[in-house]
Amino acid sequence: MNLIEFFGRLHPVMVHLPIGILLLALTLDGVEWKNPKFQSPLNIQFILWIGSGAAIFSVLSGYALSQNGDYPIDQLEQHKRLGYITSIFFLFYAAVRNWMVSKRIGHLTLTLCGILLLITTGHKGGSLTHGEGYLYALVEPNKDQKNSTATLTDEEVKSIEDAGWVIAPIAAGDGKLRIVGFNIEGSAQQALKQLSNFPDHIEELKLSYASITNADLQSIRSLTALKKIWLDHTRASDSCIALLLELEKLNYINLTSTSVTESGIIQLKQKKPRITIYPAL
Amino acid sequence: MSLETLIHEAHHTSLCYQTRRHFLHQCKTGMGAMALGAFLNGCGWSSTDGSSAEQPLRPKAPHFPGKVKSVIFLHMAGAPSQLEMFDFKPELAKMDGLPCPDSFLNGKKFAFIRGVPSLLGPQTQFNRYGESGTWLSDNLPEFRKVVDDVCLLKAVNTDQFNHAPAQLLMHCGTARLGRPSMGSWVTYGLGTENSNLPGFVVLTSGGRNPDAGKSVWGSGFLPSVYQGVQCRSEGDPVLFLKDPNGLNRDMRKASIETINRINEQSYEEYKDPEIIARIAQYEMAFKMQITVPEVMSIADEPAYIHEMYGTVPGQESFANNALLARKLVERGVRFVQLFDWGWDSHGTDPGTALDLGFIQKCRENDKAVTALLLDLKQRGMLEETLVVWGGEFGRTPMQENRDGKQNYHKGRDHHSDAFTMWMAGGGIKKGYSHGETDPIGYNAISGKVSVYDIQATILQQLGFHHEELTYPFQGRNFRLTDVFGNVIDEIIA
Repeated sequence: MNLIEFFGRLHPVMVHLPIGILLLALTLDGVEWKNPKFQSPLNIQFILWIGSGAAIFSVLSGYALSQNGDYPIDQLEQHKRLGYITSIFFLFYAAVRNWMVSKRIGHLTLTLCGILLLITTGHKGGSLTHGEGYLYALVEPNKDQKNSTATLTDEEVKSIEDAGWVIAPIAAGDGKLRIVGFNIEGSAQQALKQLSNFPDHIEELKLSYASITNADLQSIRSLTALKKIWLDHTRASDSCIALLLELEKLNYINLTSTSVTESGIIQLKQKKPRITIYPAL
Repeated sequence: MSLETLIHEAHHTSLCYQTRRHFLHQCKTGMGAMALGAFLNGCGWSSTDGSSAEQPLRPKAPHFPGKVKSVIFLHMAGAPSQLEMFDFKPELAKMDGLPCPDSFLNGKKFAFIRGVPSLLGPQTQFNRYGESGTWLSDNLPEFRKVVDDVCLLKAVNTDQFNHAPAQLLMHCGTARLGRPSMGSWVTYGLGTENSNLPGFVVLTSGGRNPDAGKSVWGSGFLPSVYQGVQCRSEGDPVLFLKDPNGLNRDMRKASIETINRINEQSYEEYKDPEIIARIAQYEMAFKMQITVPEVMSIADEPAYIHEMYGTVPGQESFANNALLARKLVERGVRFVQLFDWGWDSHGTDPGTALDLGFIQKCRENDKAVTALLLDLKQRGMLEETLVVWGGEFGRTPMQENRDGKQNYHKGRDHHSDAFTMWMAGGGIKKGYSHGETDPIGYNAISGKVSVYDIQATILQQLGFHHEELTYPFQGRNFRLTDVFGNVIDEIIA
């Protein structure tokens, strides 16, 4: 490791120094703006000069760290530019601060801009090291891996599974289900009828290799939330096209290894031009 | 003496043993058992999730909707030369035969290079193909058809330069033994959509298993139900799956039910999740007797598919395994891992020479890999499947000089600083190259990604925050990417 690389690796430590110093200056300045009679125990302009110097040092170490190519370029460029702007801004702030303090709006604008720049630059830096969604991850509702079939009762889950279906939750917490029929052993028609009790939950239905006919499919008409259906390796034919057209939210149909003809596909595409269709091979 | 008197006397005798001394003696062993229990709880002995312990392969929700449902990981064991496949270096051609500059050698360790080796130019021609204008070597004539569907990662690096630890790092997130493999993590996290097939299947070709052995598909400290099931493309797909002579299927079913009842009693007593894993595996094996031979047979595939892949039913080959990978994913298998041995192009014999054996390996691989991508695409499966291709590291721009003497054939040593892998499928940019190496292909100069980044990206595409797919073991949560890894956002569409 050479000296420049070593210097760069100090960036995550050094960067907190100007943040702390400048935040102190901004806080004191904010109090002084709110209460002009306030006498700061510290020289705010001097703190700003120290903070700006530390910011420049931090920018240099950040530049050295950026040379190893370990970070996403777009995010890195944003953080780099904000780092330059922030250090130049605070140099300017330190220079004009004592002159600006008598101008109420100018003083407030300067303080607020300083806070905004400090937060934004720091956040972009944090996103680089911890990942872009790190901060918001705490408030996202679907972060915990839990059984999203919780929206169904145990009896309902059992009734679906007893029919031979495998329930694969699409994501934790959203209650949307992918239902897979590889393991259906009894009557496919009965199994499909069982699903019609849960029209709002089922978004994906995988019937690949299931022993089903067009007649068995009639009960899927009630699955109004269905977005994707796999009918590959089944006895589906052109007769099921009218039924598929009734499902308004459907945006994906897999018909490979079925008897659906080219005219059936054309019919589907004419009525639903935006749908993704994989025709019979 | 009546029976009642006998029972009374036996009861009285047993009570005589319940003395203060006996009580203290039993406490002694009891305290030990409690201490052991506390220790074993830290080793994954107890389950934190009752429902998943009872049905370990039941589908589970990812953290967010995944872009893919399955992964096919094609591992070229031995580490193919990126400089004869994907990473075109015209400057290296100009420097062919020149002694390697000291700056490239100082402080570096190589597996076999000693002293000052010569630089070795690309041993093939390159041209640009596809709308993306991606450089590809003449060793990959078929791959041109799919080059606009893949995303090349040209600056992958690893910190291991020997095969076994590098393979472990690639698949288990550490160069040491004992951690779960990627397929095990994925099956643990998502379960399986087909309870008649394993969630994680391994297929090997090239005549040997990878150097790291079966640990690269092991389950480590995860329950063993999540380990990869190795299937074969010739002979019985799974060894010892058939009923023994004289035992029919009904008898087998009855015997498995009896064994499982005994195991359930043991589980009630000890609460060891491994017992649940064993029950699940017996049940799975019974179901697999019917489903596996059917899925693992490629004889029924149409002639055009055999032509496309270059498959010959009944033989062990990478092509057969590639076709099987498609069939397995089509049937809901979550993670299919292919290992193709024989890519270690040192140039010590014709088989490992870049201008002989390597070309043959490329041709076999090229046809099957291209066919796999085209086949997945035509079936609408590429949208939901992530295909990953690569070795455990790359090859040096220098010709190998084992023990300081130049090898007789053209070959390259192991190189960990920069090599090429590619991904294709759901949610990955198409016809895109990420990362760049220096003019001779020695170091990454931009877009450098680590093995952990690849693992994090694979988990991301399946719907996981890689830092949160964890398992408690020995007092802390473990994860595939250890304490490293960033999702490679630049390659995500």
